[in-house]
Parts: sequence; structure tokens; C-alpha cells
Amino acid sequence: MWIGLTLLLPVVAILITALPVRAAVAGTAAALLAALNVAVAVTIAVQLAAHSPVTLVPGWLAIDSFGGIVLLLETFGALTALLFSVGYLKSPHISDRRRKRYLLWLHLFLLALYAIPLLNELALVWLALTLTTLFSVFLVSFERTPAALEAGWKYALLTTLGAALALLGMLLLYWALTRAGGSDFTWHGLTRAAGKMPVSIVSLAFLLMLVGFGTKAALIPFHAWLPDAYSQAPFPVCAMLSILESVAIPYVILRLVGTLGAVHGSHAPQWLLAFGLVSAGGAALLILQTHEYKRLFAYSTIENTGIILTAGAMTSSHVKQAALWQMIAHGFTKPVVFLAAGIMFMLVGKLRISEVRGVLSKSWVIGSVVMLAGLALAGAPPFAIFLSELAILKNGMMGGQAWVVMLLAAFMIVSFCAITYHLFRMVLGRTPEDSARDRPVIALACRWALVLALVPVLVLGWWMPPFLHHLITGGAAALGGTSP
Amino acid sequence: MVTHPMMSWLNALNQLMAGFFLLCSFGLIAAAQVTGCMRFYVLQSLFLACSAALLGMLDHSTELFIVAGIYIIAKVIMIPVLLKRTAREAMIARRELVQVLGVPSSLLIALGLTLLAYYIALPLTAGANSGIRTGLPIGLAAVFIAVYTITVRREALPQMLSLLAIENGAFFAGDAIAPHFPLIGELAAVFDVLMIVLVLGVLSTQVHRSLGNTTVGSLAQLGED
Repeated sequence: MWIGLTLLLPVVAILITALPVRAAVAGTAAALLAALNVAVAVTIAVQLAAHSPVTLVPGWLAIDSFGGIVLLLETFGALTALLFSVGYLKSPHISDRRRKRYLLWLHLFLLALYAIPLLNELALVWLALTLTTLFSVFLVSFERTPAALEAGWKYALLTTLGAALALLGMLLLYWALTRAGGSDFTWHGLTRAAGKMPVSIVSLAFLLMLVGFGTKAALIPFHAWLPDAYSQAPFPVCAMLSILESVAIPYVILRLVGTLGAVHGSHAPQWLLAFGLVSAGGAALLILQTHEYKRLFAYSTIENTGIILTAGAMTSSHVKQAALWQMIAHGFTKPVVFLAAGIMFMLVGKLRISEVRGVLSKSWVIGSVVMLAGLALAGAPPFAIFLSELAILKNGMMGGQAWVVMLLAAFMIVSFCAITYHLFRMVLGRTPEDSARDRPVIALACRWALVLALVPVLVLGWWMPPFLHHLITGGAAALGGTSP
Repeated sequence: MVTHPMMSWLNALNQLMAGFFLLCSFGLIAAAQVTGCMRFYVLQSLFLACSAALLGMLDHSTELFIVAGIYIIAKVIMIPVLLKRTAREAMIARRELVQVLGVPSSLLIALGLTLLAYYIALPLTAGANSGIRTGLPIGLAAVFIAVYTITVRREALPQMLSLLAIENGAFFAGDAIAPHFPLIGELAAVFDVLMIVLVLGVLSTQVHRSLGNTTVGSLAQLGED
């Protein structure tokens, strides 16, 4: 019942937006519905902690602990992004028609995003993932400047290219499934048939899907679209794209590896480990040399996706739990970072790091929130990312994969130093002489969105709700792995 | 029941379709105008549909007959109509397309990609039926060639049509290797194709209006500096 509600609420939001009401009304209604959806996701999560999976239509719509985590992060991110969007859309240079169009695309995007952890049939999961791209293209190019249109085009073309490659992989996987005597193309059906699938076909299928979905998640070296898309998209859209890339897509990839890792000789975990490490390392270096804070945070999304995938591919089941913890920590932290950056942009009006100085002296509230969010993202104590990264390193060491842990630790340190370096330069420092800008009015909705998004970041470093703990242990079981 | 001589005849016909299908991929590289690209895409979809129907007879798969019908409706009829609606301005701009690499060298590379596809596919098809031995390498080759075409094309619509050609290639292989693939999957893919045409068609019109042309490759405003 609750699962159906998750998908129904965005549909209601779409219908309200389609009604002839003012965009402000539609936006407020949508924010309320999104709040309701967070409550639904928490209810599902609590149910899952007691009994997994929760099923609505057997074989089609069901969710287990891992999916519960993903849904929780998606709905919460959506709530804060929607609330922030209500404030962002108040800007007088956006017409009411375009405001409604923005809301409509955002709701369609969210509908596809929520469907990913709920759907069981692999072909439909693929469709939902592909639609998230197509529905977010006009959000990325929303500003309609030539640069925004170019970014939108690049984003659409490259990620759809990835989806097409994943489609070929999926068809090959189905072939392997029928060769093993199965016909049930669901996560469950694949797990059952995994032992009998021909290795050569599964390997090719997995590689194609990894490259395909990896392009959507902007794994290095398939990240060409990402810096442009993030630098052009509105801030709340960046927050949602981050959730897509660091939560929803890793969910699909890790699920796939958990299933296909059982095919002896497929080397799926090893491939994932390599891709994850390259992404984490490459992104850490990109963070170091970037000139724009929006891109800085975009690269940090790649880095975290890389860390999550690497940890998810390691053998010990404790590391896999830590991977899910990292997913939760980053999934709650990233929206705060982008929303805080959005408010900072309203204050300073610049995107280049070198042109932003002394935010703290202009507004100590915004300055300290940006500082807080940035430190939480970089992995400073006492925030959740610090703890989850530590858990990955510690359990990885105990699981006997020391060289992976060493590399990960090095990448984490590089990105920590790079993020804090850029952050300190922006927040502290002297205000440039020519910055006699008027203090902008920051919409109430934006402020509330930020406050709301800050709550889990401040809480999770100290206390984790018991149901979340259950979800992590249950979710890690879906990823396979050996207990040490 | 299909008799044995009938089977071999159908197989031969299917191989002919596969040949035409691959030729269209080469055509997509060589076409000099947007309308030419679209004709090759539509033609390729038609061969895809014929091949699906033939495989339906060979594999006794009712699904594939339905799939062939879906291809005709969606790819051969709806896509050209949708494209003419959403991207009219870019479509009728009759002028030579820009390519990064000349056509002869591109065709040579495409030939190499076809060989690569055979090299990858043949070990997988050991012991499989004739449909798979034809479909998998040709489908893979079409996918590779279309990916290559995207990288050398510099304008929005030819890039999009190559994107759709990748999907054609995937399904050319898919219809052969998975004749009983769930219909819902095929429907999902076709829905996806139509959404691509809608979204990218509208976007290319916006690009066209804001820049006067759709040479997206020459937009060099963005990029890490």
C-alpha cells in the first residue's frame, strides 16, 4: 500500500501542476506532497527494518532493505530540492509558464527516480533510469543560455548513449538467463539462475551495463558531460542529479554485482573495484584543479560514487555495510552542500572560486553554513561522512584488502585537503574592494530548505536511528560478500 | 510447422536483411544531409522489422511478430513525423553536414569495427542457431558503427539519429539472441526511443534558434579551463 503511495504522490503533484493554478500554488502543494512522501518512505523503512521485503505486486513492485535506503535518500533530497526550487522560481526574470514547466519536469524526474528501487523487472529499471535523464534535460538547460543549451545537449546525448549500451548488455543478460533455463527477468530470477549462466556472455553483458550505467553516473573516464551540466543547471537540480548519481545508479550497479558476482569467473566485483578506484582517484585530482565551486562539488559526487562502488565491490560484508553507510552519509550531505552553495551564489553572484572571497564577513550565517556543509562533505569529524569513510578503511583493512584501502585513504586525504583549501579561500579571506553589492533578499523557502536539509547532517554524526541500522545490515546482505 | 527447405530459405532471407541492415549503418556515416540520415535510419528500422518477423517464423515466437509491428509503427512511421514536428527548422536546412573525419576514412574505420564485432561475437555464438550467428555480430557491428558516428558527427540531428541507430543495433542482436524477451522490455525501449526523439528534437530546435545552427560540436564555450 505504502509503495503505491510513493509513486502516486508525484503523479498528484504532476496533475496539480497541470491545473490552471499559479506556479507558486503548485510549488507549495508539491512541497507538501514531497513532505508526505518522506513520511511514507520513513514508514516503509521502519516496516522493512522489521520485515523485508515489502511487496505490492509480486514480481513487479516490491522493495527490500537496500531499496528502502535508496528511497529514503531520494524522497528527502527531493523535499529539500523542491522547497528550494519554490524560492528559486520566485526570481522575477522567470515567467509563470516556465516556472510551471520546471515543476512539471522535476515531478516527472522524481517519479522515474522513485520507481528505480521499487521496480523488480530489469527492463523497467532500465527504462526508469533512462527516463531520469530525459526528464532532467530541460532542467539542466533551464536557463536557456547558449551555454546551458549546449550543456543540456551534451548531457542528454552522452547519458542516452550510455543507456543504449546498457540496453545491449541487458539483452545479452537475458540471453544468458534463458541459456540457464530461467525466464524471470527480475532481480530474484537472476539470482536464482546465476549459478548456471554462461560466463562469457555474462561478462560481456556486465561490462556493457557497467559502462552504460557508469556513463550516467559520470564514472571516470565517462564523465565528459558532468562539469558542464552541473555548472549550468540550477542549484536544486544539481542536488537531485547528485542523488541520482551517488544513490540510485550505484544501487543498480551494486545490485547487479551482488547478483552476477555469483557467476563463477565473471570477475564482476574486480571490474567494479577498478572502475570505483579510478573514479575516486581521478575525481580527487579533478577537485584539486577545478576553478568553479559548482564543479568542485560535482567532482566530489563522482569521488563519493567511486568510494561507494569500491567499498561495495570489496569482499568483506562489513565493508559492504560501510559502503551503504557512506551512501547514506553522502546522500544526506550533498543536498545541503548544493543548497548552501546556491544561497552563497545569491549573496556573491559569482561561480569562480577565485572571485569569491570573505563570505563570512559578508554574512556570518551563510558563511558558517557553507563552511559547515563543506567540512561535512570533505569528511571532517564529527560528521557522518568522516565516520563512514573510517568504517570503510577499518573494515577493509581487516578484510585483508590492504592495497585497496591504502589507495582509498590516499584519495580521501587528497580530496579532503582540496575541498577544505578551496572552502577556506572562499569563506574566509578579505572581501574584495569592488564588492559593493546590495544584500540580496533570500527567499524564505530557500532558507527553510537549507535548515531542513541540515538536520540529518548534524544528527547522523552523533546518532543513527535504529531502523537505519537494520536497513544497512539487511541491505548489505543483498550485495553478497563473506563475513570475516 | 515450418519445413526444412523453408527454414533454410527463411534463414537466407534473414541474412540478406542483416546485410541491408548493416549497409544502412554505413549509409548513416556517409549521408551528406540531414534528410539523407533520416532516410537511412527509417530504412534500417524497416529491415529491423523484417528481420524480427522472419525470426518470429524461425523461432516460433509470437512476441517477435508483435515486436515487428511495434517497430513499423514507432520507428518507421512515428519517428519521422515527430522529428518533422519538433525539429522542423533544423530538418529543412538543406546544407552539407560537417564531419570531423572524411567519409572514405570513416567507412574504412566502420569496416574495421565490423571485423571487431565478429571477433567479439563469434566465441559467444558457438553451438547457437543460424539466426544468432547472423544477428549477434551484425547487431554489435551496428552498435559500434553508430557510436563511432556520434563521435564524428558535429550536428545535433545526425547525432540523435546515430543514437537511435545504436538502439536498432541492440535490438537487431536482441531479437536473435532473446526471441522471447518480455514484451514489456520491448515496449520500454520503444517508449524510450520516442521520448528521445521528443526531448532531443525540441532541444535541438532551441539550440538552432539560439545559435542559428545546430553545430553543437563547435560550441566551445564550456569545458574545464
